[in-house]
Parts: sequence; structure tokens; C-alpha cells
Amino acid sequence: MLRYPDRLGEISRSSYPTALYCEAVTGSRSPFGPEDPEVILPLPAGMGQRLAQRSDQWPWSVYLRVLPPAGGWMSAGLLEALADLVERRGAGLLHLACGGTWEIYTTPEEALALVGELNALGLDVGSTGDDLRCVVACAGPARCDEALVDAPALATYLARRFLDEQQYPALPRKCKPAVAGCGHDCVRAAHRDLALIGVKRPREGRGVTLVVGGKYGARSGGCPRPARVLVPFVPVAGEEDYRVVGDLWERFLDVWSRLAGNRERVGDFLDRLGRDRILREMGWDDRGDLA
Amino acid sequence: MGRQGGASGPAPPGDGRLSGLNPEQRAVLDYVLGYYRQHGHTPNLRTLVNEMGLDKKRVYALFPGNPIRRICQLTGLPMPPEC
Ligand code: SF4
Repeated sequence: MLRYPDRLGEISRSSYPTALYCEAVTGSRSPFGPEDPEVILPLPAGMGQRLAQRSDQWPWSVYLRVLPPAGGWMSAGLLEALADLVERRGAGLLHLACGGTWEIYTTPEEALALVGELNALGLDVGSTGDDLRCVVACAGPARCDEALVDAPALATYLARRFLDEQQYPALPRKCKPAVAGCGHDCVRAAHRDLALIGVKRPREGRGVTLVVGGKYGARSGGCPRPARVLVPFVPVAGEEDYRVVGDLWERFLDVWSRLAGNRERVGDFLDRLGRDRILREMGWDDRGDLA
Repeated sequence: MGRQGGASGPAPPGDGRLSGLNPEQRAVLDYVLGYYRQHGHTPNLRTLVNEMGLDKKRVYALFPGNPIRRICQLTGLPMPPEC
């Protein structure tokens, strides 16, 4: 390759308004306006609005967040079908967003038809607003000899079990989950709100550690904090153990939803209540059982 | 459509906002008004769904967009403390 690929080259080959990007870089304030809370989008989640301050720069626009298969694989066939779809009904641009979703920019008129075609491809949208965001996972044993648990398989189980939580927001705040196959944590689970990390114990074998409350963003109080251990070890030898892990997530989400303060992110919730109280509320006893 | 109602309390009877609602929507509003009277604040969506034994998707179908915001607009109740 002669030159490293350029994001601007990609963007300018689509119908995304490059001027808007340039203004965001050079302007004194963001070219984007606030979301209009009065606009009721046809889907509760997975569809968002991004408005430009000046409507001549960009007409009313929506974005879709596609929930990808855990691990992030895309066959050539799916890639081709998506390319065709974003060209026909979108801005001709697909964004593999760092949150783990695939974002498509489109218009309000095309958005629902686009989701219909995504559904026909076996895909769906979700992961916007105060909901469980997309369950990201590392490649796990499919590509990695360090894997202690099948991270994409566990993430797929959890994503399916908690699909409603990703599509119908009912949490105090957004909650970004992740599953890492081992402590190397390639997927940066320790940055996220609700995560599992593969571990191995001498006598107990393989399992996961449940960590919660990672917070690195602008609202982390100037001090980025990694997630902290909530449950040190849950045995996971195979698929038969996924249910207990899911039960733990369910209990945690319920306790957080019940006791959270004003738009309290998981990390702040953990700071305020403390690990022991949260575990007590979850009914998780010292023997490692759910009461 | 007005913005969130602020702390003005339940909508007075006869307010036009509530006409045209179906019985299912009214049942939800009645529950929320009752909850507010009892607890002094509006329930969040999870509490509403759990206590009424409703499917979350159904509540989204009855009150599209942000159900709790929509319910607060209709009743004039403030948003729940954690929203
Ligand atoms: S987190 Fe561990 S298992 Fe997953 S890709 Fe990295 S090294 Fe492999």
C-alpha cells in the first residue's frame, strides 16, 4: 500500500456532507444541534437523530445502529448485501463504530424500510439511549489460543437473552457491556459498565469475573476509572453455565434500576452503594449462589 | 404537544389532553397517578412494567417514543427522580 487509507477519502466518496465534518473540526462550536425531544422516532431504540444547526448543510437525518454478531465477523455475502443497502437507502457509508455497532446514516423516509431489509438479512437495530448497549466480545477461541471462555458465544447468549433491554430503553442510564475471553482484555471490558472477563482458577477451573462500573468518559470527574470486581468467580465450563451468568446480569440490572439516583451511571452507583450492599440486594451469597 | 409538565401535579379532570385515550392507556395513567399519590414521585418504566405486570413493548406501543416522558406530559406529573 502506498499510503495509509484516509477517512476523509472514504467519507467524501459517499453522500455524507463532508462540509459538516470540516466545520466540526475548524468551527468554534459543533455544527450539530441538540436532539429534539419532541420528535418521536418510530423505533424506541436503534434509531437516533442527528441534526445540523443549519438545515442547508444537512437535511433532517437519522442514524441506525445495527447490532452485529458478537466478535464482529461479517461474511463477504453480508458485506455485499450491506453495501447494496447503504447505497440504495442510506448515505452510502457504513461506520464500524467504536461502541461495537455498525452505524448507517439515512433519511427519516428511508429509515424504516432500511430496518425491514436489515431484518431480512437476519440483523436488527438497537443500542441507543438509556438501554443496554451492544454486547461486544473479543474473538475468543475462534482466533485466539489464550481464550479461557468462548467470549463470542457467551456474548451471543447474553445479547439474545437481553435483546429487549437493547431495544426498549428502561435503564437509569446507558449501560455498555462486554465479554473478554481472558485477562488480556483485548475488548477493553474493564472500560465498560457491565463486563465479564475469562479467568482460570487452580482448583475450580475456568470461569468469568463479573466487573462493573468502568467509566472513562468526559463525565468521569476528570479521573478515568476502570471497572471493579463485583463477583470474582463464576464457573463457566460450557454453554450449560451461561444461564447463571445471565441471571447475575439480570439481578444487577434490576438492582441498579431500582436504586439508582438521578441518571446515575453504573460506576457512580457502585461508588455510592458499595459492592457489599449491591451483592446483598442482588441476593448473591458468599458461597457464590443466587438466593 | 407540551413539554414535560413540571411539578404542577396531576392534570385536572376535563383537561383536553386526556380525551381520545383508549382504556388501556387510561389504565396506565390511572396507575401512575395512584403511584404518584402514594409515593410522591412518578414511577420509572421498570417499576411501572413490573408492578402492572405489563410487557415493556406494550407500554412502548401505547406511548411511543419515551413512554414515561409521554405519560408525564399527559398527566402533568414531573419526571421520575432518576430521569
Ligand atoms: S481477550 Fe484474551 S481470549 Fe480474547 S482475544 Fe484477547 S487474548 Fe484472546
